[in-house]
Amino acid sequence: MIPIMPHMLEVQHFSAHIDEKKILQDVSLAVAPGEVHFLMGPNGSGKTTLASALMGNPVVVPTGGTIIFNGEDITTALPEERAKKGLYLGFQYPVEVQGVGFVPFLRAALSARGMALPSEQDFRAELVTAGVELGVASALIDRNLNEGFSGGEKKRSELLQLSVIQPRLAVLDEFDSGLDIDGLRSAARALKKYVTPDTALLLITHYGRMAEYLPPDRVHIMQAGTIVKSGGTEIIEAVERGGFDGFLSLS
Amino acid sequence: MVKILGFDKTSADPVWEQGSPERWVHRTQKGISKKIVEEISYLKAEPDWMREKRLLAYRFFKEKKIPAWGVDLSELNFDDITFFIRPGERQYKNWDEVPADIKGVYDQLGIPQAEQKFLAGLVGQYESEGFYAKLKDQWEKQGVIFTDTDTAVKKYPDLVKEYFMTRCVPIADHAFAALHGAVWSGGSFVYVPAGVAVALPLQAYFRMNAPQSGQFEHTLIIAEEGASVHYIESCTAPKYSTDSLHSAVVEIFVKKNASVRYTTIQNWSKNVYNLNTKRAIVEQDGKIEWVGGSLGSKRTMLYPMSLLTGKGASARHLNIAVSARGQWKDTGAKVVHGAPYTNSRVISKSVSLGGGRSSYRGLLKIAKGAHGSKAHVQCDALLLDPHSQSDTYPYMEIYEDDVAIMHEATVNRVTDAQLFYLRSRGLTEEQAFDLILSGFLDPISRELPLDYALELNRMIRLEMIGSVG
Repeated sequence: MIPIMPHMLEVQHFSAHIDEKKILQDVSLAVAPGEVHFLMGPNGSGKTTLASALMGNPVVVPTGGTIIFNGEDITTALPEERAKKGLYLGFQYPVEVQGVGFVPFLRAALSARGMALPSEQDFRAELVTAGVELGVASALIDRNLNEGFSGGEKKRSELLQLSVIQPRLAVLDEFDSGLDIDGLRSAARALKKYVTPDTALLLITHYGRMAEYLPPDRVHIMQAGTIVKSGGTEIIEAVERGGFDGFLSLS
Repeated sequence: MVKILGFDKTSADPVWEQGSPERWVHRTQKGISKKIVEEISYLKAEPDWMREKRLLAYRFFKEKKIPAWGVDLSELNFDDITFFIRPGERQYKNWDEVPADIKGVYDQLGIPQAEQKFLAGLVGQYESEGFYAKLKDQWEKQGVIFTDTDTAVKKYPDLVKEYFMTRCVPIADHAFAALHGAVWSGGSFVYVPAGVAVALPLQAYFRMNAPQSGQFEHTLIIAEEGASVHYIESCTAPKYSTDSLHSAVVEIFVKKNASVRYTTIQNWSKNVYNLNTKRAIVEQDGKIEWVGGSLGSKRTMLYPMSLLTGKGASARHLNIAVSARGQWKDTGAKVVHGAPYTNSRVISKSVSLGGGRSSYRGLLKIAKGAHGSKAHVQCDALLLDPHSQSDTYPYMEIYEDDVAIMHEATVNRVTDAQLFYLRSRGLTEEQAFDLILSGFLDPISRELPLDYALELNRMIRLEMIGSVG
C-alpha cells in the first residue's frame, strides 16, 4: 500500500475580506513536503492577499474556510505563532524599519523563536558567509532593516533571512521581480538547496521564466480572488504563449 | 542590577508611584503670597540677603505673565498648591539615623545601595528639603563640596551670593524663574576646586511625596578651571489624582578647561507639572554635556541651555522625552555660540504613544564674532500609533558667515506594515515595539551608564503597557 503523503499546507475553501471588501473567495490549495508550487495570475488577482493571509496579516480578515499547517488549524493564529510553527513569508515589498539594525533584528527574531544564538561577532561572520552565496554585500548586513535597500537588495535580504531562519514552508511573494538574471540564478540555486523532503516552497510569480531555473511540481492560476486552474508545467507554457487573458479565456 | 531609578522587582507597580503617609513638621498654607515667601525664609533662618532676593523675585513673579506658548497650563492653579513642606528637623550623614518612613522609601528605590556601589556622594531630598547629604572622604579632602543648597547658603555664603540666580538664570528671567527665586528650597550644591576630577558620579534624589505640593529645588554646580564632575539627578513622585508642581532651576558654571556632565532621569507621576529652567555658562575650552530622560509628568517644559562664552567651548545635549496618554511635553535645547570655534551637538528624541504629544523646541544662536563655530542639531520623533502627535519648532539666529550648521529632523511612525513584517519573523507585537524603540533610542542609551539604560528601557515599556491598557 502506498502511504498517503500528509500535506504540509492545506487551504480549504478559504475566503477573506480587507476593509470589508471581499478579496479571497473559496480558495483551496494543498502543498506537500518536498514540493515546489508556483502561484501565478494577473495583477490584482489576490496572490499577495493570499500570501498575507497565510502569514496571518491582521488586515486580512478570514470569513470562511480553514488553513491547516502540519495538521494544525492556524486560520486564526497570530503571525508570530505561525512563524514559530515554521511558516515564512518573503515579502514583495519588504518594509523599511528605521533605526533597527539588520543584525539585531535577526538576532531578536531567532531568539524569539527559541533558537540558541552565537556571539554577535560569530553571528555576523556566519551571515557574511551565508550572504556571499546569495550575492548579499556584507555592508548590507550592517545597515538598518531594509532602509535604503534597492529592490534587488531587499529580495536578497529576504532570501538571506530564509536561509538563516530555515522555515518548513516558505511563501515567497514576487521575489523574482527586482532581481537581474544573475540574481535570479543564484536565488534559484539557494532555493533548490532549501527544498528538502521536509520543506516546501510556494512561489508567487508573474512570469514563468523562473521554471527554467527551478522546475515546479504544481502550478496554480489565480483570478479574481480564487484559484481557477491547478496543474503541471504545461500551464506555464500556455500562459507564456497566450498571456493570462488568452489562457483564462481558453480554460 | 541596582535599582537606581526605583524599580521593585517583587511588585507589579513601580515603587515611585506608591505614596507614603504624609510627614511634615512645618508646612505653609496653600497658595502663594508675600507672607508665605517671608515665612519660608523665616523657617530657614536665612540671612537678609537671601530673604531680600526672595522678595524681589516674588515682585517679578507678580508682574510676569505665565507663558502662553508651549504646553497648555490653563489647569495649573497656584492656590491649590502647598509651596513649602519641611519633612523633618534635621539632616543626616548616616542612613541608620534617617527616620524609618523616609528611609523605607529610599531603601525601596535602591538609593543607599547605589550610593555604596558607585557614587562619590549623595544628596537626598524629601518634599522641600534635604534630609541626607554625604560625600565620600576622599573627595572632601580635595576640597569638593557636595551638600544641599540650603546648607550652602549658611556655610558658603560667598559662593552662593556670587552664583545663585545672578548671571546664569537671573530671577527676572521669566515667570517660573521668578516664582522659583521666591519659594526655592533644597536642591544640591556642587563645588569642584581647580584641577580636581571627581571620578565617580555625584547623585541627588528628589522625592515629592505629598499630594498637591510644589517642589522647587535649586541646583548649583561650579566646576573651577580644569575640574571635572558627573552629576546625576533623579526625581519621582507617587501617583495622586490631584496636580502637583515641580519647578526647579539648575545653574552650572563650567570654567576654563573644565567639564561637567549633568544626567537626569525625571520620572514624575502623571499629575505633575514639570516646568524647569536649566542653564550652563561654559568658558574657554570647557565642556558641558546634558543627558536627559523625561518620563512621566502631566506637562513638561524643559530646554536646557548652553551659553558658550569662551573660545573653543563645547556643548552636547542628549535628550529623550516620552509622552504617553494624557501627557504633553515641550522639550528641547538652547545653544548660544558666543565665542569663536565653539561646538555644539544636539540629539533630541521623542516617543509619543497612546495619544501623547511631544514637541521639540530649540534655539540655536550664533553671535557675530563666533566664527569657525560648528553646530549640529538632530531631532527625531517616533510615533507608536496614529493618535499621537509630534511637532518641531526649531529657531535659528545666525549672525556669522564662517560657521558650519546642520539641522536634521525626522518623524517616524510605527506602521502596521512594520509590525506585521517583524511578527512574521516570530517577534510578538510587544517584542516588535521593543526592537523599534531600542533601535530608535540607541544613540542616547549608549551614553547612559548601563544600569540606567536598562531601567530607562523598562520604564518606557511600563509607559507603553499603561497606554495600551
